[in-house]
Amino acid sequence: MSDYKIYPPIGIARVGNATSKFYIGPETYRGLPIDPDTNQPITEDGFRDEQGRMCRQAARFRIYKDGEEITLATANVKDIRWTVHMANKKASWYEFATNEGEHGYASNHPLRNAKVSDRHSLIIDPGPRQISGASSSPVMLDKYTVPAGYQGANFPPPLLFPTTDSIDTLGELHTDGSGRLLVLGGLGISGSGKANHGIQQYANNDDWWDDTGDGPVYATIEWQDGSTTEVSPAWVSVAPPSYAPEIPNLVTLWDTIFDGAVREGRYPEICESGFWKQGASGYLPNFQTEIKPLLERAATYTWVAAIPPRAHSYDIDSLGILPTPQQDQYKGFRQWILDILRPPSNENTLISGAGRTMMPYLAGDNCLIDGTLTSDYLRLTDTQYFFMQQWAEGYFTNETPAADGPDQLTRNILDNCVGGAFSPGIELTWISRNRTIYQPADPLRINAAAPTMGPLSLGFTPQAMEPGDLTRYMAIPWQADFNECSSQPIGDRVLWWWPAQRPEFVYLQQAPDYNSRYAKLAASGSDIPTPDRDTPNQQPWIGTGFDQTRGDFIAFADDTQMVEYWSQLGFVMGKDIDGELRFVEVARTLPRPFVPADE
Amino acid sequence: MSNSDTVSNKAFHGLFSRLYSDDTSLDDLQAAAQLALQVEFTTIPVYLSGLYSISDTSSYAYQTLRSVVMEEMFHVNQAANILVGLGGLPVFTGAAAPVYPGYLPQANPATTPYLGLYRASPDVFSNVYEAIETPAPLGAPAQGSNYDSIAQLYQALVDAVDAYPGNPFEPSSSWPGRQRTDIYLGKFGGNVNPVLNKDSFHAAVNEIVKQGEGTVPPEAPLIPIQQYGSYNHYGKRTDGTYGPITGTPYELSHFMKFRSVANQPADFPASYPVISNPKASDYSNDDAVLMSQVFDICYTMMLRAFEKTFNASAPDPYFNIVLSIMHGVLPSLARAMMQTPALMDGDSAVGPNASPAWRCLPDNIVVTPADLPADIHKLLERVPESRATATVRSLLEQAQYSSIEIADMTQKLGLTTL
Repeated sequence: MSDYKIYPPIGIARVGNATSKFYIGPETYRGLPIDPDTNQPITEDGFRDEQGRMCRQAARFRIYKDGEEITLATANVKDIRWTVHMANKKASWYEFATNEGEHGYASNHPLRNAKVSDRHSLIIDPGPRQISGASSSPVMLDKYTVPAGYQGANFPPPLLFPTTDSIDTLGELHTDGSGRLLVLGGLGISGSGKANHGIQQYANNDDWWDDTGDGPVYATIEWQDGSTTEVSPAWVSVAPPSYAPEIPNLVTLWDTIFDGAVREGRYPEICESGFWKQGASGYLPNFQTEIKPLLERAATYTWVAAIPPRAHSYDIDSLGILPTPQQDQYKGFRQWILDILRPPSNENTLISGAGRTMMPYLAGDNCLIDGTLTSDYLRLTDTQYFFMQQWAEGYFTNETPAADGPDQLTRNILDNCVGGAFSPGIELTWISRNRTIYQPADPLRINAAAPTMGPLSLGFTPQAMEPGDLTRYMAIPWQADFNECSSQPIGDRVLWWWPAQRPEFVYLQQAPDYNSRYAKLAASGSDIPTPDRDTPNQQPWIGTGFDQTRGDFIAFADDTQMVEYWSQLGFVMGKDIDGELRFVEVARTLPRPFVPADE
Repeated sequence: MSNSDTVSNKAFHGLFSRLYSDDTSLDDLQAAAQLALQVEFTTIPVYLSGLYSISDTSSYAYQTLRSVVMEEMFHVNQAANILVGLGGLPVFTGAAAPVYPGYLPQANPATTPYLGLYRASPDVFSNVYEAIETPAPLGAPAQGSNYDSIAQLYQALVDAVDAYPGNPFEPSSSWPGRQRTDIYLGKFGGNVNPVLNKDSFHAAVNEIVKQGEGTVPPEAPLIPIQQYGSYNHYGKRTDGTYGPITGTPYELSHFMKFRSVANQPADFPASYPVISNPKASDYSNDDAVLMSQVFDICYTMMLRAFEKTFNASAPDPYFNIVLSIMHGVLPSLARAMMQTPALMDGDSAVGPNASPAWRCLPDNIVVTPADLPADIHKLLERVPESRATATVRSLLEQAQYSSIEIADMTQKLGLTTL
């Protein structure tokens, strides 16, 4: 085990159709992407290139030892050599069927492309690539530059329908001026090898391909004295775009992975030997880092979904006032909030016994298939809920978090991703909850297999995870799930999926066309803004909003349209409008209203 | 002005004539605001008795009634803000507390509904709840001591405020009150806003009137502008589904909500067989008598603490005491009563069962929050541990859990007695 480690242990790149211009993924919680030239957050012009194409998001990787970053500028470092091997194994894997397979697949579980006997021909695999030095010219992960001697390189047939593009690359590698690694993913091309072969369903479509992927990131430090040090590897995963980077999910990918580690006993100060450290002498969550973000997430959802803003906007800071032995003015308020949160083992409860609609009002892991695994509604993780319980009781602290470091970087990056519901999800699905894929001594780091010269395995070996082993569970193509999983009818209600990653209703920038005759009277005690009566009306991000039963209710009527138009959709970004911060739609190139071309 | 002046019937005597006279006093405006507050408040126990009697809390009838009663609570708070803005202090106890059965305070018995505490049924929704919220065409202004419709009451208040010279809401350091604007909890309609001038007063009244009982005829829009550009409520949509709704459409008026329940009697959920207009003296089951007494103590405690939340001279007990009683104690006690036979050796599945009387204790009876856990404990000791009583016991245990915290909180706030 090396003291030198790559951070973040899991980095997220995102597809885009701009061939050269890209940005670096946000490295702060709820941050905007980073301009690689200035290292500053991008502006609203930064989402697209000069031709209006959507930029790709690069995942940036760094090396740390004991909290200190190692770069080419570090004393005695001669060079850093990075090796990345991504693959896409979606077409060769099992069909995604909600939670089935999380604890191992049954023998009757169907395979994708079951008729294809050469299963290796279903893997997109460009083989490994290396890059070193500072600001090096890009290294392509394409079909034309497969390393000599690599066995098992494979790409889909050329000319995919309906776009007539072809998948020739899974991305590229860059280094920045200090020798840090930047990994770019594919161009967002998806299609079927067969013409007139539309998308049948949200997750499994035979003969379809997309150009996402994932795989290990290795690094070797070469010292001036000629010696080398192997660095503990990380993982890169390529995901759909994040259309609302500043809007967080209630349950983030960090929350989910961290929860697994907590329940496994990796954080005995929180949970030891299966017992939660409850009470005044137990674990005291920090309001600023472990409670307040959850309250704010509920508030910010209102910018991307048709969620009542006022019900989610209260004086958040008053909820962080520490109780004293003499006084606890907000205890009832904290308890009230805990009581509307859906507790563990209540995944199928929408209305509580007291008649309250339980929160979050989001679809759960398995609301699609009736059976023993049904879990209709999302809930907080066990660890999040435990923190809320302690807080409601008054057992918490309120401290400014410590300075940045590699662990904070890891949390920031994973906090900007979806941690549920996993049906299948946006970046990763329930495989992220499987503790066997993580290193025993490093609870957030994947067990990467040793570098291979191929061919890749068709199976699952959690102790030696291979390229493609994380994203293969996701929908193929990703656009199918991304289009359909906007709203979900469950019983007589319609619930939301991942509005923070895939907006449902958005606010436009234009000023309202009436003069409000009411002065703004109440000022919120929180720095999290929510829409108010001066904010122009919400619009469906895609499709129509007036009838929840229509096929194009906040979605394209046909998933194939998402394959064609995803790159033209707008982003949601915080802007100063009329003197207040609003999260509004920017950088959209798709006309509104949108009428698809006659096909 | 002392509290007793505000709420005595003397303050209301000839009120409407004075409001429409040339020399309306600030005291008159305060009296009218206090009356509005009492009117709003009087509806709440009526609705809650029906609400708690519905056993399926996810049913449409329960959810609809709950949304109305939550909005009525905002109305009470908004009316209290108007009164505080006028320099008064809201009173909920003593002579201001509602008595059932009866009429709305100062209402004309010939033209307004007779209110009582009933088990929910389609007929109660139709004949009692709808009657409270019926949109009434504006007739002649109210005169003398009585009003014919709630709309008249609000119109008289608006007209008198408009005619009042200057700004009756001009804050003065000698005014004792504190307005509440932060109670918005849940997905319901309505704003609770501070009342600082005539404009914000109009907005406040508009907020109350448009949601329920107001003047708006069914064929006219309730309000010409949408209060928010966003989807701000969840409810029945015109596409036939349940979901987000923009603005405040007609379908969200309390009247139409109740109609939509009453018009589908076949879908009405099961309810507990509770006694109508209950009185503890009618019970022969001592458990029921004792529960009724404890309920009245808690209710009284909540009302007295609620008054203090509007009084700037004392610490604010809203979030830790009022909300905890409202949310943690009263619903559990009410549901426990409703599953307890009123008569000795009765069958709780058949009834008649007990039901809260919503009786505010006289001012001279002091309640001690620190005694509450022991009171509820006594109830628990009486109810045997058996499968048949498991639900009632679990409700009482919930109430006891909250009561321990309330006892602790009141102690910390120095409210050893209320």
